[in-house]
Amino acid sequence: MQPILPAPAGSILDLVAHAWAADQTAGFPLRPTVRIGSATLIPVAIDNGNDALKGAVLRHDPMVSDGEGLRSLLTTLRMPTAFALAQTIQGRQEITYACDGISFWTGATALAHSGDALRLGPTIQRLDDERQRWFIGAGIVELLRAAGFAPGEHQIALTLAVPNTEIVIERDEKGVEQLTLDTRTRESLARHLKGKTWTISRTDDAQQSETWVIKVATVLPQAQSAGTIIALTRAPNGKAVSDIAGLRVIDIGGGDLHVTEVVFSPAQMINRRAGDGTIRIARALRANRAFAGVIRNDVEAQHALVRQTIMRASRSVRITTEVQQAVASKGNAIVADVLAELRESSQFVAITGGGVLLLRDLLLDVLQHEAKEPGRDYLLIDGPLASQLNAIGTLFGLIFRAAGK
Amino acid sequence: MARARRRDGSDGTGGSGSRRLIAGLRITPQDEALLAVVRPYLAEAGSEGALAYRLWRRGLELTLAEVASLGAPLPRVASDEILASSVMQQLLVCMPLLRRTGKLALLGLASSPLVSPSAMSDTASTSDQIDEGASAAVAQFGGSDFF
Repeated sequence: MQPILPAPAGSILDLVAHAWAADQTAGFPLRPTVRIGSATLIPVAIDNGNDALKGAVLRHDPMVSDGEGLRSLLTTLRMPTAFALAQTIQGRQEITYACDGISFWTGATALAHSGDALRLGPTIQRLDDERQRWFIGAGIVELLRAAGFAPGEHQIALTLAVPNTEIVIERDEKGVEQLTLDTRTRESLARHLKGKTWTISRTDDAQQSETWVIKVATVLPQAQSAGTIIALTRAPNGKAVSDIAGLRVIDIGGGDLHVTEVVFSPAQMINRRAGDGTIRIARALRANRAFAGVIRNDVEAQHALVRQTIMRASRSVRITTEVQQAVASKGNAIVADVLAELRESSQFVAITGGGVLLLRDLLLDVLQHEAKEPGRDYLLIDGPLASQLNAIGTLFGLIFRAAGK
Repeated sequence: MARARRRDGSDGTGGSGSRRLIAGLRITPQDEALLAVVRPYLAEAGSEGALAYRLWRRGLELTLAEVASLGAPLPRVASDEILASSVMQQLLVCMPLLRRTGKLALLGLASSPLVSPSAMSDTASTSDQIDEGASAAVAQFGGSDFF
């Protein structure tokens, strides 16, 4: 359940939190497409995290007819970062994708069939793995499908949330320093995603084969924490809705605990990796002798943390107690790191990331004893938005950038 | 009304925690004809039960808003803010019908093309009216290169 958050009124974060808290789809008075050059494109945001791919896209609100103004609805997706080659099944069929002659499963389906975790690490290492590229393509298909798009050819403007550390300072041709993508990531994106076309067939238990052709017309990489910054400080039309001059984002991700400090004018950004993210807890769970041979890799462990169940000898087994023990032993260390960052910051602090969901009780317990006040000094981004916010914010970042082109 | 697949990928009818069967529905042929009209717009409800739950939940929210308006106390799981936001969204999607049938004037809303909460009033613009500073703000934090 999404709680209401003390976010700046009218911010993207505020509007989505209110809609989701009411179990509604978030809607915005915007077009669901962007124009870049002469092309009209579907903006698609992908935050390809270590534990899960998160995606966001807009679609036209079917309840608003032409001439009644603009309104787009937000669709988001979370898919565990797991991959398995598809096998022949007799009986109920799984959602299966085929691309480049390879049939595969992703996400929870892959995990249910002893799938593998995909590579962790920087963008270049991940994109060099063709399974990762198929996985992203399938994620985009599932996202568009969830938003109500029909199979067929779709031209998209893709924004990819990259690790903050892959954004560096360089001088432009006029000698002015600016934040930009590091060279290796740039080359990797140009090699693997620029002009990319995925042709993916998708089948499910209905056995109706769908063919999706996803053409990437343009790619806009953004620092993943930029998504949180945009969602927190901007309205859907891009207007600034907050008077803060900068902020510190503490992102408790699957792989990393990451801290970003930004100042808006003049623009400054400082990134540091403060430690491991929830992978610390997941590995503690995996190392539990009770789960030897049952939890085989990190992504299974992350998934078990979220679901609090495992499959053992064909039975679904609750592991709430074991998860609580792992969270208590390793989660407190993460909370201590978060508290240290919060206390020593003179900036407004946003605490976000999928790890917030796991550590919620621990965080709330210690934060209520802090002198700093929620809403005034810091914001704990709680609920499903904790893991989805970067994708949502970078989607709007793409829309804003396209409008300024 | 939640018309999309939810962010967690479910059909949105699972809610938080388990659900209990509290009523069966016996509907008339006329109701069935009306149901056929809305069914295509709720295609993500994967079963008749899920569809019925969606519609029941929506009616419950509206009725709750009615009694809250009369002063009925709300349980802890709800609040005036959440309820108002929910009902506002339902009203918002009904605006074309209300306008077409002249009912907006009866509500005293004829001069306003859209009913929106204060939080949205600043944002009722098209993508053609994206604030100029927003693009620069994205670019200055590294989102500058289109490939």
